[in-house]
Amino acid sequence: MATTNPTISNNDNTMQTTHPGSTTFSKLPQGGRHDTDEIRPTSAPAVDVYENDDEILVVADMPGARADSVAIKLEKEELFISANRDTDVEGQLLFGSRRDCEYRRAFLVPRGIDATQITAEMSQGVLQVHMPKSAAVKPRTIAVKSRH
Amino acid sequence: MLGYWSDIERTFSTVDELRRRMEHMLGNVDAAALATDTNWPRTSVYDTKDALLVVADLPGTKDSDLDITLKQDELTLAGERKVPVPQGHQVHRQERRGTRFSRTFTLPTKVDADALTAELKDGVLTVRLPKVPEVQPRKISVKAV
Repeated sequence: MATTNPTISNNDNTMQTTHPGSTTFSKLPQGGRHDTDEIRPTSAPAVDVYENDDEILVVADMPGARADSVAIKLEKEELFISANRDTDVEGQLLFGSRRDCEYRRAFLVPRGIDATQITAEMSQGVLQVHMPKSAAVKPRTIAVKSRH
Repeated sequence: MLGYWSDIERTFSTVDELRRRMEHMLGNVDAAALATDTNWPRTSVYDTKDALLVVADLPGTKDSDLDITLKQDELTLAGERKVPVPQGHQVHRQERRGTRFSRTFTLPTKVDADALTAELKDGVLTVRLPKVPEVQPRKISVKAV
């Protein structure tokens, strides 16, 4: 199963989403009607949050989203995850309501996360974001010395 | 540590509530994306002239957990979706749910069962059911006399 790493950027800029088919006048179809691709419906992916001693793990279902469309941004204390799904199926839709969408979810990162060490991987439409805890918040066992 | 975790909960609730309101306002909420147990997996059927395509969202499902059967004009997608808790982790939030599922679709045309193909890519299952030649569209050429 192929696992690829989406890029992670860590900056304080306002979060910007880029749509591959974003509005440019040249892309508007002739005849006045807007391209339906122009506004992507957003979809909040189902998310699991797990924790162990070393990390917080966020798992999100994003079926149909390719790894290269995933964007993960850490802006101050907020983590934004987003990905684009393109339903490149030719043919007439008989049943169902599949369409292009943008998966989007945002949440606060608790204190004590080492922002520079966040990693992510995408596999079979499931995104995993590993957020390692900084050494300061990891549990430590304190050795007790006995004195006689 | 209690405050630490309520941070995450608080975040989800505020941001999600804001999202719900925004989407409601903008009217572009992808409501069908909210799969429940009865409509899992979320599935669409397409007609591409020479074949029918059944496309289902199955994030994180292995091909070995899937069971696709075609019985005359009924296609059944069955299987199990497993959401195991990662080893040694505790759960803070679990929206992704494991489920056993079975959905049956009655196909609108005759298909060639031997030529059926199924592919799982990026968590999306695509079952391609080529139509039998009799129901494929034919072009009739007109001769001017």
